[in-house]
Amino acid sequence: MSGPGLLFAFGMGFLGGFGHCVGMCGPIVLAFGLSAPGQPPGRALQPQLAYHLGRVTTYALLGGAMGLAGSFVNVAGRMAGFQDAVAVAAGALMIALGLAAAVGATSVRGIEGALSGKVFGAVRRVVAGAPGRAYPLGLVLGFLPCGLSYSAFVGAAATGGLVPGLLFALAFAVGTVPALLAAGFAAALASARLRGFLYRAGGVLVVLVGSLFVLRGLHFHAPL
Amino acid sequence: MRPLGLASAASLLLASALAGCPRGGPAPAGCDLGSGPCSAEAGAVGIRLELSPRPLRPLSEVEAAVALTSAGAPLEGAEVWLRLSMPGMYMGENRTSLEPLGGGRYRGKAVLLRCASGRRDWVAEVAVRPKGGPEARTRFPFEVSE
Repeated sequence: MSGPGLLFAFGMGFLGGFGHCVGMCGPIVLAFGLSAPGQPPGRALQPQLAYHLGRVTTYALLGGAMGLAGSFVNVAGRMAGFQDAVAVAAGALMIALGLAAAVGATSVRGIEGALSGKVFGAVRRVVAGAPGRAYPLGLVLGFLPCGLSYSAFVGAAATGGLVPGLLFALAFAVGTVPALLAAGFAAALASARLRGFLYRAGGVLVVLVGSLFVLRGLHFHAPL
Repeated sequence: MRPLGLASAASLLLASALAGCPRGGPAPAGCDLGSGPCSAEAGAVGIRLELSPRPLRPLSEVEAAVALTSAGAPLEGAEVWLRLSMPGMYMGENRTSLEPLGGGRYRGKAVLLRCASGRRDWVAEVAVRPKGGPEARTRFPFEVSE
């Protein structure tokens, strides 16, 4: 894998991060931001960095597999069902985090405490707790179906080798991090300052997009 | 990295940056690559594109067959590229070079991707660089079946 090839992959990820990822996966990092109210943005970013590290790891391994197989279609075809399941899981996670933000700050605290406080608490501990907990989450969500990453995996498959495919996908994945990290930082910053209605509205947005993820995973496609 | 390598990478990045912008000649009306071949004129070049096998399905490999003419004769010796993109959504660089078969015909393989949102509308853009002539491009919209 040549230097220009890696730079091309990084550039595709970097540009796609702003032109694609923020729109398609921005709500996930928004959910991260909302799940850490009151935390300084710098501290709130630590689990996000771990999450991206996990995602980058998965992309790199998938790129290596594509390169080794020398075929995008064969590998992608085998993991399509698993990717749909991951989309459903990601949607469920976002719904839980969104509900925690939207409902947790209202007078329905009693319901949260009685019925779902443990669930919300567990989810929050994963995405806003120790960074090490977010890494496996990134590993799993790295399998989310994504047209942009498919393009990178086609390039990885075309390299025809394990190491070059891995490096190509790694460069692409690293390229996507700045945009999503910036979005996550903005969400964390906003989350630390937003109160009341706006904070709950962010939670509702995350719930809605999470529902879309679930529907997409179940192949009920809604326009977005 | 050598300066030449950097320049190449920078060119590729610039191409990538421009990738989200609609470009090329007007799309031919009333033609769907999912149903059969489509033809268009791009400047002095006649371009006919066929994708197969049909129906066109996401996450599958397709064969792209291009036939070029210029002034009524087969256009030989051109560099031909096929790029697949989604209108209004950057989906990365999905571009393939087509190999000449002779008689103005060019062929190559491409991969149809899948959009997680469920969108099925794509654009196939054919870029032709004839020897010593200006580059010609045309775009053919199409839909994949689920």
